Amino acid sequence: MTAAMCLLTYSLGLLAFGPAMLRGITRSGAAPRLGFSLWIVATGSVIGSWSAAAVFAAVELWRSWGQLDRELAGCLAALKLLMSGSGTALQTALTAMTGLVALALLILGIRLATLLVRRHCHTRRHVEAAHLAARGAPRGPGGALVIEAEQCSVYCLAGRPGTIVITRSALAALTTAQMAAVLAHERAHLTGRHHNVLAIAGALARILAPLPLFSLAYAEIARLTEMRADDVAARQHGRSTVVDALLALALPAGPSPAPP
Amino acid sequence: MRGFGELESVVMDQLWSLGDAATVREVFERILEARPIAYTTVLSTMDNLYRKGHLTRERVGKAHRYRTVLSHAEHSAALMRQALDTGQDREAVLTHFVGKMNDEELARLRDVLRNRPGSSPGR
Repeated sequence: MTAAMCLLTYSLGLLAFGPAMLRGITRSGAAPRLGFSLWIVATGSVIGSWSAAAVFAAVELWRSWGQLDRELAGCLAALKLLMSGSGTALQTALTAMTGLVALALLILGIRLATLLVRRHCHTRRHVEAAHLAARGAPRGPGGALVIEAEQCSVYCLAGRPGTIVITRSALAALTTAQMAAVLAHERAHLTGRHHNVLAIAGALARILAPLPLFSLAYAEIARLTEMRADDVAARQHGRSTVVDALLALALPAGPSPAPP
Repeated sequence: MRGFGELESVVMDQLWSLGDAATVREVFERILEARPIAYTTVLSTMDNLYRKGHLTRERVGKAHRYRTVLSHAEHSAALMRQALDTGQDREAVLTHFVGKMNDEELARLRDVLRNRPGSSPGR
């Protein structure tokens, strides 16, 4: 049981102290890829430790079935004193607990799979709707779909291959260089498979909503993947061009504010 | 570049141009003006669009008259609504270059603009 207990303690520690600690480390966004990888490892290791704990506990119970109190005596002497003669009760309790944890993990897995499949279907439907909205018009820069809409928007959707969507207003608002920078940003999301990471993180945040670690992980991973994409675009096209593109899309059209 | 949904987009484009409703023959003849295509290809494409819920149809004599469920404007508006929805439970995972900003963030952006070395944003 020691292994199971250690793993559970580790996961409890991470759940309790992880959010503050990790946020402190990744707050500055200095190395975004390392940052969101850290969050992925943290959340993954919590789920992993629960699964491993359940497996270890199940193996222990199976190996020491009927002699549980003697097996536990080695590391839980006090408990043995309390429980002498109640080996069966302890065994039942531990078996029930292990069973519940295993069941919970199974439900987690099923809910996760369901959410991911649903997201995948929605994304495909959105891609198809974007194609139709483009009305077969010639592709825009970088093979992007161009759709008529008054909003200035550029976004990308996961898929094989990914899809980048630009509105005609965005096309008009950006210079060629700025457009190239924006496309580089979106392509960085696609090559980095950020959508997959975000989908899983989002699903876990939803399923395990009461645990702050997972909601925070989702928010931080979203922020850090954006910074990563910005870094890639800035490296290729210059930080100034990226900022200009951002301003061109974000600020409402009109005369630029004069310097004081 | 022929890709996923290319022909479906062209067919929808024709339908939207024809007042949101047309028979297969009408769409086929319009497309044929621009490029070679088989009647059966157009037929199966429109049938697919019907099955996917983008078109409705009614019998007119021996043929079907297909109608778009949404006008082009409605379709694009729905697409943009879905794309710009910033709710946590957004179903499709998509990433924008720049997200929607509130007034405070826009004000901070303007400060950045004012304090940048050399200038007003060139376009």
